[in-house]
Amino acid sequence: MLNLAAVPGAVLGAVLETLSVRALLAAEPSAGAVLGWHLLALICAVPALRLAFPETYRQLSWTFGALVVGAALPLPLVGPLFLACYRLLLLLEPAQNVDTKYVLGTTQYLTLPRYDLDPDMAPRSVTEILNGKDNVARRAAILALRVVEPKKSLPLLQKAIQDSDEQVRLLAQTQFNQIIAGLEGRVKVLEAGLAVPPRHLNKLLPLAEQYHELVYLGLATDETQTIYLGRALELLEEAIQLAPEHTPTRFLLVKCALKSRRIDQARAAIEFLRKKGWQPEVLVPWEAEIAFLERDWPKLSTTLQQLELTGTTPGVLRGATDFWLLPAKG
Amino acid sequence: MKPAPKPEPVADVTLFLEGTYPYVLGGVSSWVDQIIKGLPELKFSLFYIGAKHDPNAKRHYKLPDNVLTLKEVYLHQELSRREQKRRRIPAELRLALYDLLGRFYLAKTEAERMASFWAALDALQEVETRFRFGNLLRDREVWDILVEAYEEFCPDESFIDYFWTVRFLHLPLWNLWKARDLVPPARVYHSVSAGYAGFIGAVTARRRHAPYFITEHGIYTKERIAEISQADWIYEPDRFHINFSEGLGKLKQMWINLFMFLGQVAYDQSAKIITLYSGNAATEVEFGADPKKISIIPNGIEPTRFNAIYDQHMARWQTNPEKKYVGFIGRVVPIKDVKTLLRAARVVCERMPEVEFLIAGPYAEDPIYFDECQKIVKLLHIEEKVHFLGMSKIMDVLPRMDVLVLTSISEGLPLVVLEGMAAGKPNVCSDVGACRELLFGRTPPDKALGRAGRLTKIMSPAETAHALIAILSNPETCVKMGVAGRKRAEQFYSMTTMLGDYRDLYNELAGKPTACPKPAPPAPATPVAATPAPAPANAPSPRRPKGLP
Repeated sequence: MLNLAAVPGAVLGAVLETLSVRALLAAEPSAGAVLGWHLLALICAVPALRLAFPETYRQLSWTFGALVVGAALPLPLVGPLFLACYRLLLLLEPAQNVDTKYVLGTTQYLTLPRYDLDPDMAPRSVTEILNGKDNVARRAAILALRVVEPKKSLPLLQKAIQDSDEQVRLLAQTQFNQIIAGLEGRVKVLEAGLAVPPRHLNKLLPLAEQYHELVYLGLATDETQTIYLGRALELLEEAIQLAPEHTPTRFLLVKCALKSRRIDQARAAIEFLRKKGWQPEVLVPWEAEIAFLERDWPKLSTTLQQLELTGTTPGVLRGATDFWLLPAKG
Repeated sequence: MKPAPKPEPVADVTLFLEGTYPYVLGGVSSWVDQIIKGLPELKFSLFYIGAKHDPNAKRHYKLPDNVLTLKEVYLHQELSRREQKRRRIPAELRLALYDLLGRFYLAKTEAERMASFWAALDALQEVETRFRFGNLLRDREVWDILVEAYEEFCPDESFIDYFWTVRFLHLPLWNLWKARDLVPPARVYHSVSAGYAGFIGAVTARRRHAPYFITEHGIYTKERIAEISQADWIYEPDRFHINFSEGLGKLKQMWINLFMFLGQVAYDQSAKIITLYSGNAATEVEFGADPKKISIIPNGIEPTRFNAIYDQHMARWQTNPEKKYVGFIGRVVPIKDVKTLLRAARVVCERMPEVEFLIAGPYAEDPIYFDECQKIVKLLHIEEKVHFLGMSKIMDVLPRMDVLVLTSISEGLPLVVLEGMAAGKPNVCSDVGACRELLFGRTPPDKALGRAGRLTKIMSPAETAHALIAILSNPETCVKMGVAGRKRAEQFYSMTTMLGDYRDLYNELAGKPTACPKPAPPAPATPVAATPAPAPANAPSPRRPKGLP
């Protein structure tokens, strides 16, 4: 686009440069006049000259430097030539980084080239790439998810399993299956261990935790969630029979009962923990959740107020607390 | 004096089979069985490549009479003590060989690597009797190449991990190379996958100046890449942040590069590259196959087998039947995504109470998954509507089904869809593998036949239900799709067509001289032909050698 602010400078620069050339072509050229007009011309033309660079390079300190050097060069044609060369250098694609050397191959599969990552640009998000049209980028993004914890990567992998590119699907599915196989494998081992008597707390609790984990990670569908949580609660009840005073069992019970909407069971476990002396800041958020599930808005407001008064509102409840306790604006 | 060993008969075709027929059940094995039995006029020899020798391994297929020999080689076969010892080789030969090997490993371009590969194999052939794997393990020159490659390519990795990865990478290749003389002689060599089968096929064909081609059902390289990317037996440094440019660890990349290279060796040497559908062809091109060599020969079935079922189905759907049945034929395993089908079943049954679902297939492979499916059926309250039939014969269950459904996450060219089409049943399939081509057609004349069903997104119960309701509630559509499917199966996917295409291909390749770039030493044993051996490449050859139709 034409930058009007640069036009006067450019015009003035052209006039001054003409004067410089005329001084140079005069019968007795004066070095002072030639260089003086030329320097003034380039300084005036700087805002316009910057426009010759791609937008991302205009603000670079190197570009300013180049313009200053270009302006300071003593001969009229050398300066613009220098700037043209500088521009050309900027636009040349950098060599594919020096690390791209591999045994038995010259390219690395499943990666994005490094020069795609401009340091001045904001980091690209996996979701953005997965929604993009570039197949290679989507494959690289799926591969990069290996370092992400399952809770965060699983929703993206599930989305990628429906991708239009077969290789994206295959990579996502392999990764997804591996996570599932790890979790289900542990369930299998623990179930097999439980089948061998005697049944004790150290067998029941880890197995219940594993079933809860499957739900927590979003690996269970609506129907299987009921199955997994049902099994977890069954195991936890058995664990309570064996060790009634064991508090970690009750904690897990509250979580599982709330997830499967068994509110009475959750309430009873919270009551047990309160009697055991657990702090309100641990238990009140769950009570707020029960109030929410029961759509008991006065109770929800009271519990949130209780947390606010003790200054123990957890971050996840901040939005809800502000909504219920702060006066409406306007 | 010892009697001369009995010369090996020359087959028309030697098939290179990796982890498949006759020891493993599955789609590719069934296809091999079809090809061998369907072309009885040709003599086949088989070269089976397994991972490790298992004395208790059972053959799942009885070898037909037209199979001359079955040779087996195992990639992870332990080396004998003798093989592990180093032998002295004249310095001149040794230096020439290692110079080529060095060029192969340190090549900067793919073309240079391919040229050095074939040259190194020729050099290896020259020192054949004197060279052992022990030389590769112990010769000073190999160590120098190893260290140079390490410093050049992966100086940041642990040298020990690199060292053992390199050794482990080469053992299967060495075992195959050593077994090259065991490959039964034939007029045409045919690999049924890339990878190791492609490698030994290409090497054999080149050494024996014989025509060679490859058929890929799934894309071997692609599958290996997915597997290696998640493999925990190959060391990879821990990563703590997402970086799209880091890719896989260098050692994993080494394995991937090996398989990509083996694929290129096979593609490079193949006169033709055959695959099942155009999606696969595009992937092959991505992995370095020459598009001009690629042809598509889809799997085939015998549509006439389904004549009675077709007639019965058409008669039944002339009027709107009272009860309607949706059929799923396949293993009850996660990759078939039966859970999506069950959720779709719930929606369909709510809208159309007259519909029932028949799920025919074995469930012993993943009992936990089957158990979950059963629980889902209970939770969705569709126990009366969904029936698990277990392992069933297709000819028994197909007549009972009105529409077929396939909710798979991944497929190649599913035979069950083809069989359903031959029986006049409309199909509802997830959009994977060749399903789009099967239902909508591949070429313009194929597309002109009309649609044989509906496609849905993967893992989409709502779309699956919608598609099923649309077909089941409209007898006219059901019949129209059935007719289109039957015609497509007859015209483009018949077994006769597939066998004919392969017969023509074998004939064409056996009848023309091979495009071998460089002469190689002759095969070690001069085979005495059961049927006459092929004429040398430069001699005028009969168009159709005896033994071929």
